[in-house]
Amino acid sequence: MIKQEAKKERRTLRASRIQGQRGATNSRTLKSPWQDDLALGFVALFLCVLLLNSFEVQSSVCSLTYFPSMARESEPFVVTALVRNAAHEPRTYSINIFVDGLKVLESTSKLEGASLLSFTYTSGWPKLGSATRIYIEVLDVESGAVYSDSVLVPSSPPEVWMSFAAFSSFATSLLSSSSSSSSSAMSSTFTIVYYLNVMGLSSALGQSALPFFNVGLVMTLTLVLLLVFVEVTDPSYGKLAAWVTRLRRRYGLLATGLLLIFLGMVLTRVVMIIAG
Amino acid sequence: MEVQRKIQSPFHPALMSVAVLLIATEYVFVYVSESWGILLSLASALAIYGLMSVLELSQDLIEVLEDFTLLFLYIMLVSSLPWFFLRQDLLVPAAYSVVLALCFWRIRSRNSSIGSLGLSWRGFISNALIGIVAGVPAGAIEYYILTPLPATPAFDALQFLQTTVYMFFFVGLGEELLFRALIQRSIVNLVGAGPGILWSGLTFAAMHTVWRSVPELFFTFVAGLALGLLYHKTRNLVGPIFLHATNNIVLLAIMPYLA
Repeated sequence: MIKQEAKKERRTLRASRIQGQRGATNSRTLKSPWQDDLALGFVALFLCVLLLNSFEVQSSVCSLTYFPSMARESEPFVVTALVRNAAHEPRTYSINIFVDGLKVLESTSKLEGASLLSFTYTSGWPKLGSATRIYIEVLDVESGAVYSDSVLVPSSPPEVWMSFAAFSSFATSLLSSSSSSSSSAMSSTFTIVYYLNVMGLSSALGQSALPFFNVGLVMTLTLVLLLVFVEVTDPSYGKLAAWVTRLRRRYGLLATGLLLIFLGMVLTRVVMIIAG
Repeated sequence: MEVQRKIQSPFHPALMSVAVLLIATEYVFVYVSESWGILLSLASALAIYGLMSVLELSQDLIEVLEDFTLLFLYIMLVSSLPWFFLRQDLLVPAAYSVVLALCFWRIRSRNSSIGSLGLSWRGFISNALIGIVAGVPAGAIEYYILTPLPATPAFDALQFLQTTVYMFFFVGLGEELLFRALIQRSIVNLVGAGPGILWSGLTFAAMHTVWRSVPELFFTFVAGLALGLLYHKTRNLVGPIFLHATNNIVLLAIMPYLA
């Protein structure tokens, strides 16, 4: 009898706690309903942009790579530009290559079906603190489509890309001609290689940036641990210490961020598998 | 009733530790290895969140640590997402959506509103004018430090419009919400106005290490102080947003065609 009463009491307590939490959430919602929507809206916008653009990744007509990936200031590096005709019939391409905004090559070539054309460019390794920007723009003369790719030497984090690539000379000449052409996504081999290296996803290439740590794996394991922590500390399971509740809320945000990164890695893998 | 706050030392150990950690993370990220930088930012976020939840800290210090941790999350997220899927011209809005999402999450979690943080119509025109007038010379000075190349062979109105939209609604809004409305405000509450603005300027400069330029670091530190002072004096975010956006528009969309 006593046991039953105690059980009943515990059930009532739990119900009132859950009710309390709901109440707290509701009062917050009443205070600023638009803030939740706005924050969610930005996340949704970001995900939509990411997903929609992933469909734009095409089998690139042109690509740029450079070697060696790390060099000393005085040593040269070689950039290889590849132009592919994936179609079965011959096509004519007009090719322009720019280095730091200056045109270094202009050529018109007819490529047989399923063939490849390559150009190489040699330059000195840029000084510490500066970067060389190489940009290729290929116009399919028959269809009028414009394709492009770019590399920033040395490889740089996305912030630098945002600064240089989004506003510098090689990046947006497409905009001025976008009314009459289709542009390829930024499917640069360089940036994919950069991402794969940094995240430790490039095991096939043997080029992982950290030989002992795999950043992608560390992040995934951290995500799993955080999700387990968030699950086992669910307030409905029983009384929690105040610090656990605080930690749960904060690690919840971190877990959301890691989940986005994990989805990005999965998306990359899926696209790579589909692209062969 | 106004609550009397206890002002802490400008060299509060927790503040110093987090700032050193942030500078170290940025340095490692830019000059040593991006992978180590990402791991360091993840470890920092885990450690700061863990310690501030377990230890009994003052509310002001907790606010500062919460806001600082957004920077580690920002470094981690922006460096670890597959941006190559995006068209280059969408990089800026996409990356700054991350900044804005983090800011709005933080504003929501502290039960605040963007209006109370200074984004309001009050004195809009005068604040906007102050921002524009100060932003033009600042952008010209920064141009001579970074000398960015023009985006198109000749001035393009569409390109200019795109840069303007990006700078006002993503870069200006995102960075000013993060550095001034959140970080500076909470540091000022902890250590007082003068040291708070200095700390926020230092943080702003530290986050510009990616340019790999010492003069640019100095410029962003001074610009951070000016933006912080403007925000503190006017209690309004419109002035700093206009100053920041105008500076960047002059730097990237006007000066490269004039110089």
